[in-house]
Amino acid sequence: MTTTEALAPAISCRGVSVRFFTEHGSVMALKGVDLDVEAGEFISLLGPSGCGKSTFLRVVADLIPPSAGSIKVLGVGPEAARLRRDIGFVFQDAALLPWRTALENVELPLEIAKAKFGAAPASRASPRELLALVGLKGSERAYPHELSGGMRQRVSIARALVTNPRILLMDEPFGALDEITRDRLNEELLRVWRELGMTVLFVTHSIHEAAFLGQRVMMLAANPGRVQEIVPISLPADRRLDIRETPEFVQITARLRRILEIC
Amino acid sequence: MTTSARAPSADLLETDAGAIAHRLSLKRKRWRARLLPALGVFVLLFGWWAIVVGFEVKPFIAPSPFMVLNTLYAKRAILLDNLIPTALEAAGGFLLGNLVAILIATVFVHNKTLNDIFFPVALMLNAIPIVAKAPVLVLMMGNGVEPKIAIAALVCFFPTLVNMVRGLDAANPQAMELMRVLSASKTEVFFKLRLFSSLPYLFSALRIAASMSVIGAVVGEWIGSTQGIGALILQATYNFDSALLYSAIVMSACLSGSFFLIIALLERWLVRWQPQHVH
Repeated sequence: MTTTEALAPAISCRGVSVRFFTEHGSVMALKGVDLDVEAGEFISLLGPSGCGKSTFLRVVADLIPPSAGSIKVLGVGPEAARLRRDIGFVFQDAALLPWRTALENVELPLEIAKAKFGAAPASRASPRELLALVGLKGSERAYPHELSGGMRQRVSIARALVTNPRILLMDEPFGALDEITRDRLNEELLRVWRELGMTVLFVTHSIHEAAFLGQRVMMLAANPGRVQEIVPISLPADRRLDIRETPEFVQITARLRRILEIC
Repeated sequence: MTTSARAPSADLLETDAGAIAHRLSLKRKRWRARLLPALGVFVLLFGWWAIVVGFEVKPFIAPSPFMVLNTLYAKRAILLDNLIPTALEAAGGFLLGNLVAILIATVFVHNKTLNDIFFPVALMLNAIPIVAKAPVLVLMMGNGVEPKIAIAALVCFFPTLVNMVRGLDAANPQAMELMRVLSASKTEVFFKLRLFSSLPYLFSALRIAASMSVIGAVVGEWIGSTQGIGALILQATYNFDSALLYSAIVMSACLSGSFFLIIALLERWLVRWQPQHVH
Protein backbone atom coordinates (compact mmCIF):
# COMPACT_ATOMS: atom_id res chain seq x y z
CA MET A 1 0.00 0.00 0.00
CA THR A 2 1.48 3.36 -1.01
CA THR A 3 1.34 6.38 1.28
CA THR A 4 -0.98 8.31 -0.99
CA GLU A 5 -3.39 5.41 -0.94
CA ALA A 6 -3.27 5.20 2.83
CA LEU A 7 -4.00 8.89 3.16
CA ALA A 8 -6.70 8.90 0.51
CA PRO A 9 -10.26 9.03 1.85
CA ALA A 10 -12.19 5.74 1.67
CA ILE A 11 -14.70 7.23 -0.73
CA SER A 12 -14.52 10.58 -2.47
CA CYS A 13 -17.24 11.85 -4.83
CA ARG A 14 -17.37 15.05 -6.83
CA GLY A 15 -20.52 16.00 -8.68
CA VAL A 16 -21.68 12.39 -9.18
CA SER A 17 -24.86 12.23 -11.27
CA VAL A 18 -26.77 9.25 -12.62
CA ARG A 19 -29.32 9.48 -15.39
CA PHE A 20 -31.48 6.48 -16.30
CA PHE A 21 -32.89 6.23 -19.80
CA THR A 22 -36.34 4.71 -20.23
CA GLU A 23 -38.72 4.35 -23.16
CA HIS A 24 -40.40 7.63 -22.22
CA GLY A 25 -37.25 9.67 -21.83
CA SER A 26 -34.79 9.89 -18.97
CA VAL A 27 -34.88 10.18 -15.20
CA MET A 28 -32.32 12.01 -13.09
CA ALA A 29 -31.73 9.50 -10.27
CA LEU A 30 -28.83 11.37 -8.68
CA LYS A 31 -27.63 14.92 -9.20
CA GLY A 32 -24.31 16.42 -8.17
CA VAL A 33 -23.44 14.32 -5.14
CA ASP A 34 -20.32 15.46 -3.24
CA LEU A 35 -19.15 13.27 -0.40
CA ASP A 36 -15.92 12.43 1.41
CA VAL A 37 -15.87 9.40 3.66
CA GLU A 38 -12.91 8.74 5.93
CA ALA A 39 -11.51 5.26 6.32
CA GLY A 40 -13.31 3.39 9.08
CA GLU A 41 -16.28 5.75 9.13
CA PHE A 42 -19.90 4.55 9.40
CA ILE A 43 -22.26 6.63 7.22
CA SER A 44 -26.02 6.17 7.12
CA LEU A 45 -27.88 7.13 3.96
CA LEU A 46 -31.42 8.28 4.73
CA GLY A 47 -34.14 9.61 2.47
CA PRO A 48 -37.59 9.01 0.99
CA SER A 49 -38.22 6.40 -1.72
CA GLY A 50 -36.74 7.37 -5.07
CA CYS A 51 -34.07 9.65 -3.57
CA GLY A 52 -31.33 7.56 -5.19
CA LYS A 53 -29.71 6.16 -2.05
CA SER A 54 -29.57 2.61 -3.43
CA THR A 55 -28.38 4.02 -6.75
CA PHE A 56 -25.53 5.80 -4.98
CA LEU A 57 -24.47 2.55 -3.32
CA ARG A 58 -24.47 0.83 -6.71
CA VAL A 59 -22.29 3.56 -8.20
CA VAL A 60 -19.72 3.00 -5.44
CA ALA A 61 -19.88 -0.78 -6.05
CA ASP A 62 -19.38 -0.30 -9.82
CA LEU A 63 -22.81 -1.81 -10.55
CA ILE A 64 -24.03 1.42 -12.20
CA PRO A 65 -21.71 3.83 -14.04
CA PRO A 66 -22.15 7.51 -13.13
CA SER A 67 -23.24 9.66 -16.08
CA ALA A 68 -21.24 12.63 -14.76
CA GLY A 69 -18.79 13.46 -12.02
CA SER A 70 -15.88 11.56 -10.56
CA ILE A 71 -15.69 8.97 -7.86
CA LYS A 72 -12.65 7.50 -6.13
CA VAL A 73 -12.82 4.46 -3.90
CA LEU A 74 -9.66 4.04 -1.77
CA GLY A 75 -7.83 6.26 -4.23
CA VAL A 76 -8.82 4.35 -7.38
CA GLY A 77 -11.88 4.07 -9.62
CA PRO A 78 -14.81 1.87 -8.48
CA GLU A 79 -13.96 -0.82 -11.04
CA ALA A 80 -10.37 -1.17 -9.83
CA ALA A 81 -11.61 -1.27 -6.24
CA ARG A 82 -14.12 -4.00 -7.14
CA LEU A 83 -11.46 -6.05 -8.92
CA ARG A 84 -9.18 -5.67 -5.87
CA ARG A 85 -12.04 -7.08 -3.76
CA ASP A 86 -12.13 -3.98 -1.59
CA ILE A 87 -15.93 -3.89 -1.65
CA GLY A 88 -18.44 -6.06 0.17
CA PHE A 89 -22.15 -5.70 -0.59
CA VAL A 90 -25.13 -6.76 1.53
CA PHE A 91 -28.41 -6.85 -0.39
CA GLN A 92 -31.92 -6.15 0.78
CA ASP A 93 -33.18 -9.73 0.35
CA ALA A 94 -29.96 -11.48 1.51
CA ALA A 95 -29.61 -13.02 -2.01
CA LEU A 96 -28.25 -16.30 -0.67
CA LEU A 97 -27.94 -19.17 -3.12
CA PRO A 98 -30.65 -21.59 -1.93
CA TRP A 99 -28.74 -24.72 -3.02
CA ARG A 100 -25.76 -23.87 -0.82
CA THR A 101 -25.54 -24.26 2.94
CA ALA A 102 -24.81 -21.23 5.12
CA LEU A 103 -21.12 -22.10 5.15
CA GLU A 104 -20.98 -22.73 1.39
CA ASN A 105 -22.66 -19.36 0.80
CA VAL A 106 -20.00 -17.62 2.87
CA GLU A 107 -17.30 -19.50 0.96
CA LEU A 108 -18.59 -18.38 -2.47
CA PRO A 109 -16.52 -15.14 -2.68
CA LEU A 110 -13.37 -17.08 -1.78
CA GLU A 111 -14.02 -19.68 -4.50
CA ILE A 112 -14.37 -16.95 -7.11
CA ALA A 113 -11.30 -15.06 -5.85
CA LYS A 114 -9.28 -18.28 -5.82
CA ALA A 115 -10.19 -19.02 -9.44
CA LYS A 116 -8.94 -15.56 -10.40
CA PHE A 117 -5.79 -15.17 -8.33
CA GLY A 118 -4.85 -18.80 -7.74
CA ALA A 119 -5.15 -18.26 -4.01
CA ALA A 120 -7.84 -16.91 -1.75
CA PRO A 121 -7.17 -13.39 -0.48
CA ALA A 122 -5.57 -13.23 2.93
CA SER A 123 -8.52 -13.14 5.25
CA ARG A 124 -8.58 -12.11 8.85
CA ALA A 125 -11.23 -14.66 9.66
CA SER A 126 -12.20 -18.00 8.11
CA PRO A 127 -15.79 -18.54 6.90
CA ARG A 128 -16.49 -20.56 10.04
CA GLU A 129 -15.14 -17.83 12.30
CA LEU A 130 -17.17 -15.21 10.45
CA LEU A 131 -20.36 -17.22 10.90
CA ALA A 132 -19.54 -17.41 14.61
CA LEU A 133 -18.88 -13.65 14.62
CA VAL A 134 -22.37 -12.95 13.28
CA GLY A 135 -23.87 -15.35 15.82
CA LEU A 136 -24.48 -18.40 13.64
CA LYS A 137 -22.19 -20.95 15.25
CA GLY A 138 -23.82 -24.35 14.77
CA SER A 139 -25.87 -23.35 11.69
CA GLU A 140 -23.06 -23.87 9.19
CA ARG A 141 -24.79 -26.77 7.46
CA ALA A 142 -28.29 -25.26 7.38
CA TYR A 143 -29.81 -24.36 4.01
CA PRO A 144 -31.26 -20.84 3.55
CA HIS A 145 -34.86 -22.10 3.61
CA GLU A 146 -34.17 -23.56 7.06
CA LEU A 147 -33.07 -20.16 8.41
CA SER A 148 -35.19 -17.22 9.56
CA GLY A 149 -35.03 -13.88 7.73
CA GLY A 150 -32.69 -12.44 10.36
CA MET A 151 -30.37 -15.44 10.21
CA ARG A 152 -30.26 -15.27 6.40
CA GLN A 153 -29.20 -11.64 6.62
CA ARG A 154 -26.46 -12.60 9.13
CA VAL A 155 -25.13 -15.16 6.62
CA SER A 156 -25.18 -12.49 3.94
CA ILE A 157 -23.14 -10.15 6.18
CA ALA A 158 -20.60 -12.91 6.85
CA ARG A 159 -20.38 -13.52 3.10
CA ALA A 160 -19.74 -9.83 2.41
CA LEU A 161 -16.96 -9.79 5.02
CA VAL A 162 -15.16 -12.95 3.96
CA THR A 163 -12.84 -11.31 1.42
CA ASN A 164 -11.91 -8.84 4.14
CA PRO A 165 -13.15 -5.78 2.20
CA ARG A 166 -12.21 -2.33 3.42
CA ILE A 167 -15.59 -0.97 2.38
CA LEU A 168 -18.94 -2.54 3.27
CA LEU A 169 -22.02 -1.35 1.38
CA MET A 170 -25.38 -2.27 2.89
CA ASP A 171 -28.63 -1.70 0.97
CA GLU A 172 -31.51 -1.70 3.48
CA PRO A 173 -30.32 -5.05 4.84
CA PHE A 174 -32.77 -5.14 7.74
CA GLY A 175 -35.73 -3.52 5.98
CA ALA A 176 -37.78 -6.71 5.77
CA LEU A 177 -37.17 -7.83 9.36
CA ASP A 178 -39.37 -7.40 12.42
CA GLU A 179 -38.41 -4.65 14.86
CA ILE A 180 -37.04 -6.94 17.58
CA THR A 181 -34.72 -8.76 15.17
CA ARG A 182 -33.74 -5.47 13.56
CA ASP A 183 -32.76 -3.91 16.92
CA ARG A 184 -30.61 -6.91 17.79
CA LEU A 185 -28.90 -6.93 14.39
CA ASN A 186 -28.27 -3.18 14.59
CA GLU A 187 -26.41 -3.64 17.85
CA GLU A 188 -24.45 -6.60 16.52
CA LEU A 189 -23.55 -4.77 13.32
CA LEU A 190 -21.99 -2.00 15.42
CA ARG A 191 -20.04 -4.63 17.38
CA VAL A 192 -18.74 -6.25 14.16
CA TRP A 193 -17.84 -2.82 12.75
CA ARG A 194 -15.90 -1.86 15.89
CA GLU A 195 -14.12 -5.21 15.76
CA LEU A 196 -13.16 -5.15 12.06
CA GLY A 197 -12.93 -1.40 11.48
CA MET A 198 -14.11 -1.27 7.86
CA THR A 199 -15.83 1.72 6.25
CA VAL A 200 -19.61 1.25 6.08
CA LEU A 201 -22.25 2.91 3.91
CA PHE A 202 -25.66 1.88 5.23
CA VAL A 203 -28.88 2.67 3.32
CA THR A 204 -32.07 2.77 5.34
CA HIS A 205 -35.40 4.54 5.48
CA SER A 206 -35.67 4.30 9.24
CA ILE A 207 -34.72 7.47 11.09
CA HIS A 208 -33.91 5.53 14.27
CA GLU A 209 -31.70 3.06 12.47
CA ALA A 210 -29.82 5.84 10.65
CA ALA A 211 -29.19 7.78 13.86
CA PHE A 212 -28.32 4.74 15.97
CA LEU A 213 -25.77 3.34 13.50
CA GLY A 214 -24.17 6.28 11.71
CA GLN A 215 -21.41 8.62 12.72
CA ARG A 216 -22.84 10.84 10.07
CA VAL A 217 -26.20 10.69 8.30
CA MET A 218 -26.30 11.66 4.65
CA MET A 219 -29.84 12.91 3.98
CA LEU A 220 -31.03 12.68 0.37
CA ALA A 221 -33.98 14.40 -1.26
CA ALA A 222 -35.93 13.01 -4.20
CA ASN A 223 -36.74 14.24 -7.74
CA PRO A 224 -33.95 14.56 -8.62
CA GLY A 225 -31.99 12.57 -6.02
CA ARG A 226 -29.56 14.95 -4.33
CA VAL A 227 -27.81 15.53 -1.01
CA GLN A 228 -30.01 17.61 1.27
CA GLU A 229 -27.72 17.73 4.29
CA ILE A 230 -25.02 15.70 6.00
CA VAL A 231 -25.76 15.53 9.71
CA PRO A 232 -23.00 14.52 12.18
CA ILE A 233 -24.25 12.30 15.00
CA SER A 234 -22.54 13.36 18.22
CA LEU A 235 -22.94 10.11 20.11
CA PRO A 236 -20.14 7.86 21.41
CA ALA A 237 -19.01 5.11 19.03
CA ASP A 238 -19.74 2.47 21.64
CA ARG A 239 -23.55 2.54 21.51
CA ARG A 240 -26.11 0.30 23.19
CA LEU A 241 -29.77 0.14 22.26
CA ASP A 242 -30.80 2.09 25.39
CA ILE A 243 -29.00 5.15 24.02
CA ARG A 244 -32.18 5.68 22.04
CA GLU A 245 -33.95 6.79 25.22
CA THR A 246 -31.47 9.58 25.98
CA PRO A 247 -32.50 13.20 25.31
CA GLU A 248 -29.54 13.63 22.91
CA PHE A 249 -30.77 10.77 20.73
CA VAL A 250 -34.35 12.07 20.78
CA GLN A 251 -33.09 15.51 19.74
CA ILE A 252 -31.10 14.03 16.87
CA THR A 253 -34.01 12.00 15.52
CA ALA A 254 -36.28 15.05 15.83
CA ARG A 255 -33.80 17.05 13.77
CA LEU A 256 -33.51 14.30 11.15
CA ARG A 257 -37.30 14.12 10.96
CA ARG A 258 -37.53 17.88 10.36
CA ILE A 259 -35.00 17.68 7.55
CA LEU A 260 -36.80 14.66 6.06
CA GLU A 261 -40.00 16.70 5.86
CA ILE A 262 -38.43 19.05 3.28
CA CYS A 263 -36.70 16.23 1.32
CA MET B 1 -60.58 -31.05 46.58
CA THR B 2 -61.35 -34.12 44.53
CA THR B 3 -62.10 -32.10 41.44
CA SER B 4 -58.83 -30.16 41.63
CA ALA B 5 -56.91 -33.43 42.06
CA ARG B 6 -58.64 -35.01 39.15
CA ALA B 7 -58.55 -32.12 36.77
CA PRO B 8 -54.90 -32.47 35.64
CA SER B 9 -55.15 -36.20 34.97
CA ALA B 10 -58.37 -35.62 33.05
CA ASP B 11 -56.54 -32.97 31.04
CA LEU B 12 -53.70 -35.36 30.36
CA LEU B 13 -56.10 -38.04 29.22
CA GLU B 14 -57.84 -35.57 26.99
CA THR B 15 -54.60 -34.48 25.23
CA ASP B 16 -53.54 -38.12 24.92
CA ALA B 17 -56.88 -38.93 23.39
CA GLY B 18 -56.48 -35.91 21.12
CA ALA B 19 -53.04 -37.04 20.00
CA ILE B 20 -54.25 -40.58 19.32
CA ALA B 21 -57.24 -39.30 17.38
CA HIS B 22 -54.96 -37.04 15.37
CA ARG B 23 -52.61 -39.91 14.54
CA LEU B 24 -55.53 -42.12 13.55
CA SER B 25 -56.99 -39.46 11.28
CA LEU B 26 -53.55 -39.01 9.64
CA LYS B 27 -53.35 -42.76 9.06
CA ARG B 28 -56.88 -42.76 7.65
CA LYS B 29 -55.99 -39.91 5.26
CA ARG B 30 -52.95 -41.79 4.03
CA TRP B 31 -54.99 -44.90 3.34
CA ARG B 32 -57.65 -42.85 1.60
CA ALA B 33 -54.98 -41.36 -0.67
CA ARG B 34 -53.89 -44.86 -1.68
CA LEU B 35 -57.25 -46.60 -1.85
CA LEU B 36 -59.32 -44.08 -3.77
CA PRO B 37 -57.15 -44.05 -6.95
CA ALA B 38 -57.05 -47.86 -6.83
CA LEU B 39 -60.83 -47.80 -6.62
CA GLY B 40 -60.95 -45.58 -9.72
CA VAL B 41 -58.82 -48.03 -11.69
CA PHE B 42 -60.99 -50.90 -10.51
CA VAL B 43 -64.20 -49.10 -11.59
CA LEU B 44 -62.67 -48.46 -15.04
CA LEU B 45 -61.62 -52.10 -15.48
CA PHE B 46 -64.98 -53.34 -14.24
CA GLY B 47 -66.87 -50.98 -16.57
CA TRP B 48 -64.72 -52.12 -19.49
CA TRP B 49 -65.36 -55.80 -18.64
CA ALA B 50 -69.10 -55.19 -18.13
CA ILE B 51 -69.47 -53.49 -21.53
CA VAL B 52 -67.49 -56.17 -23.41
CA VAL B 53 -69.41 -59.01 -21.78
CA GLY B 54 -72.80 -57.29 -21.50
CA PHE B 55 -72.96 -56.16 -25.14
CA GLU B 56 -71.19 -59.28 -26.41
CA VAL B 57 -68.52 -57.19 -28.16
CA LYS B 58 -66.60 -59.28 -30.72
CA PRO B 59 -63.00 -60.03 -29.65
CA PHE B 60 -61.58 -58.38 -32.84
CA ILE B 61 -63.27 -55.08 -31.93
CA ALA B 62 -62.33 -54.91 -28.25
CA PRO B 63 -60.92 -57.51 -25.86
CA SER B 64 -61.97 -57.98 -22.24
CA PRO B 65 -59.47 -57.00 -19.54
CA PHE B 66 -58.80 -60.69 -18.87
CA MET B 67 -57.92 -61.33 -22.48
CA VAL B 68 -55.41 -58.47 -22.39
CA LEU B 69 -53.92 -59.79 -19.16
CA ASN B 70 -53.72 -63.23 -20.72
CA THR B 71 -52.02 -61.90 -23.85
CA LEU B 72 -49.57 -59.81 -21.81
CA TYR B 73 -48.40 -63.05 -20.25
CA ALA B 74 -48.69 -65.42 -23.22
CA LYS B 75 -46.95 -63.08 -25.69
CA ARG B 76 -44.46 -61.59 -23.22
CA ALA B 77 -41.50 -62.62 -25.40
CA ILE B 78 -42.70 -60.79 -28.51
CA LEU B 79 -43.88 -57.79 -26.45
CA LEU B 80 -40.51 -57.44 -24.71
CA ASP B 81 -38.62 -57.95 -27.98
CA ASN B 82 -40.52 -55.00 -29.41
CA LEU B 83 -40.37 -52.90 -26.27
CA ILE B 84 -36.57 -52.80 -26.18
CA PRO B 85 -35.99 -51.04 -29.54
CA THR B 86 -38.72 -48.50 -28.72
CA ALA B 87 -37.21 -47.86 -25.29
CA LEU B 88 -33.75 -47.38 -26.80
CA GLU B 89 -35.05 -45.03 -29.49
CA ALA B 90 -37.04 -43.00 -26.96
CA ALA B 91 -34.13 -42.84 -24.50
CA GLY B 92 -31.67 -41.92 -27.28
CA GLY B 93 -34.01 -39.23 -28.58
CA PHE B 94 -34.60 -37.96 -25.05
CA LEU B 95 -30.88 -37.57 -24.37
CA LEU B 96 -30.06 -36.08 -27.77
CA GLY B 97 -33.01 -33.67 -27.92
CA ASN B 98 -32.58 -32.37 -24.38
CA LEU B 99 -28.81 -32.08 -24.63
CA VAL B 100 -29.04 -30.02 -27.82
CA ALA B 101 -31.85 -27.93 -26.32
CA ILE B 102 -29.78 -27.17 -23.20
CA LEU B 103 -26.73 -26.23 -25.29
CA ILE B 104 -28.73 -23.96 -27.59
CA ALA B 105 -30.49 -22.38 -24.60
CA THR B 106 -27.05 -21.63 -23.13
CA VAL B 107 -26.00 -19.94 -26.37
CA PHE B 108 -29.28 -17.99 -26.60
CA VAL B 109 -28.97 -16.67 -23.04
CA HIS B 110 -25.45 -15.39 -23.69
CA ASN B 111 -26.06 -14.04 -27.18
CA LYS B 112 -29.25 -12.03 -27.57
CA THR B 113 -28.72 -11.54 -31.33
CA LEU B 114 -28.57 -15.28 -32.06
CA ASN B 115 -31.62 -15.70 -29.84
CA ASP B 116 -33.58 -13.09 -31.80
CA ILE B 117 -32.56 -14.64 -35.15
CA PHE B 118 -33.16 -18.29 -34.41
CA PHE B 119 -35.84 -18.45 -31.72
CA PRO B 120 -38.63 -17.64 -34.22
CA VAL B 121 -37.23 -20.38 -36.50
CA ALA B 122 -37.46 -22.90 -33.66
CA LEU B 123 -40.98 -21.69 -32.99
CA MET B 124 -41.91 -22.20 -36.65
CA LEU B 125 -40.47 -25.72 -36.81
CA ASN B 126 -42.33 -26.58 -33.65
CA ALA B 127 -45.60 -25.52 -35.29
CA ILE B 128 -45.31 -28.39 -37.80
CA PRO B 129 -47.19 -31.40 -36.37
CA ILE B 130 -44.94 -34.32 -35.48
CA VAL B 131 -46.81 -36.72 -37.80
CA ALA B 132 -45.95 -34.36 -40.67
CA LYS B 133 -42.28 -34.05 -39.69
CA ALA B 134 -41.84 -37.81 -39.32
CA PRO B 135 -42.11 -38.83 -43.01
CA VAL B 136 -39.64 -36.09 -43.98
CA LEU B 137 -37.07 -37.51 -41.58
CA VAL B 138 -37.68 -41.09 -42.73
CA LEU B 139 -37.04 -40.00 -46.35
CA MET B 140 -33.77 -38.37 -45.30
CA MET B 141 -32.51 -40.99 -42.88
CA GLY B 142 -33.87 -44.27 -44.18
CA ASN B 143 -35.59 -47.04 -42.32
CA GLY B 144 -33.19 -47.66 -39.42
CA VAL B 145 -33.28 -46.38 -35.85
CA GLU B 146 -31.86 -42.96 -36.81
CA PRO B 147 -35.12 -41.31 -37.91
CA LYS B 148 -36.93 -42.67 -34.82
CA ILE B 149 -34.29 -41.20 -32.55
CA ALA B 150 -34.42 -37.94 -34.52
CA ILE B 151 -38.21 -37.73 -34.19
CA ALA B 152 -38.11 -38.49 -30.46
CA ALA B 153 -35.36 -35.87 -30.10
CA LEU B 154 -37.39 -33.26 -32.00
CA VAL B 155 -40.47 -33.62 -29.77
CA CYS B 156 -38.29 -33.31 -26.63
CA PHE B 157 -36.31 -30.39 -27.99
CA PHE B 158 -38.80 -27.56 -27.96
CA PRO B 159 -40.29 -27.66 -24.44
CA THR B 160 -36.80 -27.99 -23.00
CA LEU B 161 -35.42 -25.11 -25.08
CA VAL B 162 -38.19 -22.74 -24.00
CA ASN B 163 -38.04 -23.69 -20.31
CA MET B 164 -34.25 -23.73 -20.18
CA VAL B 165 -33.98 -20.21 -21.66
CA ARG B 166 -36.49 -19.03 -19.05
CA GLY B 167 -34.73 -20.93 -16.28
CA LEU B 168 -31.26 -19.59 -17.08
CA ASP B 169 -32.70 -16.06 -17.03
CA ALA B 170 -34.57 -16.69 -13.77
CA ALA B 171 -31.58 -16.09 -11.50
CA ASN B 172 -32.30 -13.70 -8.62
CA PRO B 173 -31.30 -10.20 -9.89
CA GLN B 174 -29.57 -9.37 -6.59
CA ALA B 175 -27.59 -12.62 -6.84
CA MET B 176 -26.57 -11.49 -10.34
CA GLU B 177 -25.40 -8.16 -8.86
CA LEU B 178 -23.54 -10.09 -6.17
CA MET B 179 -21.67 -12.05 -8.83
CA ARG B 180 -20.63 -8.77 -10.43
CA VAL B 181 -19.45 -7.30 -7.13
CA LEU B 182 -17.39 -10.48 -6.71
CA SER B 183 -15.97 -9.95 -10.24
CA ALA B 184 -17.13 -13.43 -11.29
CA SER B 185 -16.49 -14.48 -14.91
CA LYS B 186 -19.35 -15.43 -17.25
CA THR B 187 -18.41 -19.09 -16.78
CA GLU B 188 -18.61 -18.76 -13.00
CA VAL B 189 -21.96 -16.96 -13.21
CA PHE B 190 -23.20 -19.80 -15.40
CA PHE B 191 -21.98 -22.75 -13.34
CA LYS B 192 -22.44 -21.26 -9.87
CA LEU B 193 -25.70 -19.38 -10.38
CA ARG B 194 -27.64 -19.68 -13.64
CA LEU B 195 -27.43 -23.45 -14.00
CA PHE B 196 -28.74 -24.10 -10.48
CA SER B 197 -31.50 -21.49 -10.85
CA SER B 198 -32.61 -23.21 -14.05
CA LEU B 199 -32.87 -26.74 -12.61
CA PRO B 200 -36.51 -26.51 -11.42
CA TYR B 201 -37.48 -25.14 -14.87
CA LEU B 202 -35.41 -27.79 -16.64
CA PHE B 203 -37.04 -30.61 -14.71
CA SER B 204 -40.56 -29.42 -15.41
CA ALA B 205 -39.59 -29.63 -19.11
CA LEU B 206 -37.90 -33.02 -18.72
CA ARG B 207 -41.06 -34.46 -17.13
CA ILE B 208 -42.98 -33.46 -20.28
CA ALA B 209 -40.18 -34.73 -22.52
CA ALA B 210 -40.14 -38.12 -20.76
CA SER B 211 -43.56 -39.09 -22.13
CA MET B 212 -43.15 -37.10 -25.36
CA SER B 213 -40.06 -39.11 -26.30
CA VAL B 214 -42.06 -42.36 -26.23
CA ILE B 215 -44.75 -40.77 -28.42
CA GLY B 216 -42.01 -39.65 -30.84
CA ALA B 217 -40.47 -43.13 -31.06
CA VAL B 218 -43.85 -44.82 -31.61
CA VAL B 219 -44.86 -42.32 -34.31
CA GLY B 220 -41.46 -42.88 -35.97
CA GLU B 221 -42.10 -46.62 -36.02
CA TRP B 222 -45.48 -46.10 -37.67
CA ILE B 223 -43.88 -44.51 -40.72
CA GLY B 224 -41.82 -47.53 -41.59
CA SER B 225 -40.56 -50.20 -39.28
CA THR B 226 -40.81 -53.93 -38.69
CA GLN B 227 -40.05 -53.86 -35.00
CA GLY B 228 -40.90 -51.77 -31.99
CA ILE B 229 -44.11 -51.08 -30.10
CA GLY B 230 -45.27 -48.77 -32.91
CA ALA B 231 -44.85 -51.51 -35.51
CA LEU B 232 -46.59 -53.98 -33.23
CA ILE B 233 -49.54 -51.61 -32.81
CA LEU B 234 -49.94 -51.35 -36.61
CA GLN B 235 -49.60 -55.12 -37.16
CA ALA B 236 -52.09 -55.92 -34.42
CA THR B 237 -54.57 -53.42 -35.86
CA TYR B 238 -54.32 -54.84 -39.42
CA ASN B 239 -54.73 -58.38 -38.05
CA PHE B 240 -57.72 -57.42 -35.90
CA ASP B 241 -55.74 -58.79 -32.94
CA SER B 242 -57.29 -56.42 -30.42
CA ALA B 243 -55.80 -58.20 -27.39
CA LEU B 244 -52.26 -57.75 -28.77
CA LEU B 245 -53.05 -54.11 -29.67
CA TYR B 246 -54.19 -53.35 -26.14
CA SER B 247 -51.18 -55.18 -24.71
CA ALA B 248 -48.86 -53.06 -26.85
CA ILE B 249 -50.64 -49.94 -25.60
CA VAL B 250 -50.18 -51.08 -22.00
CA MET B 251 -46.47 -51.62 -22.68
CA SER B 252 -45.97 -48.15 -24.17
CA ALA B 253 -47.84 -46.58 -21.25
CA CYS B 254 -45.59 -48.46 -18.82
CA LEU B 255 -42.57 -47.20 -20.76
CA SER B 256 -43.54 -43.51 -20.53
CA GLY B 257 -44.57 -44.05 -16.91
CA SER B 258 -41.17 -45.43 -15.95
CA PHE B 259 -39.36 -42.65 -17.84
CA PHE B 260 -41.43 -40.14 -15.92
CA LEU B 261 -40.64 -41.88 -12.64
CA ILE B 262 -36.89 -41.87 -13.33
CA ILE B 263 -36.97 -38.13 -14.03
CA ALA B 264 -39.06 -37.44 -10.92
CA LEU B 265 -36.62 -39.40 -8.74
CA LEU B 266 -33.64 -37.67 -10.34
CA GLU B 267 -35.25 -34.30 -9.62
CA ARG B 268 -35.93 -35.18 -5.99
CA TRP B 269 -32.30 -36.24 -5.64
CA LEU B 270 -30.81 -33.18 -7.38
CA VAL B 271 -33.13 -30.31 -6.40
CA ARG B 272 -33.15 -30.51 -2.63
CA TRP B 273 -33.59 -26.84 -1.89
CA GLN B 274 -37.02 -25.24 -1.97
CA PRO B 275 -37.57 -23.40 -5.21
CA GLN B 276 -38.98 -19.98 -4.44
CA HIS B 277 -41.25 -19.18 -7.34
CA VAL B 278 -41.64 -21.99 -9.82
CA HIS B 279 -45.04 -23.17 -11.00
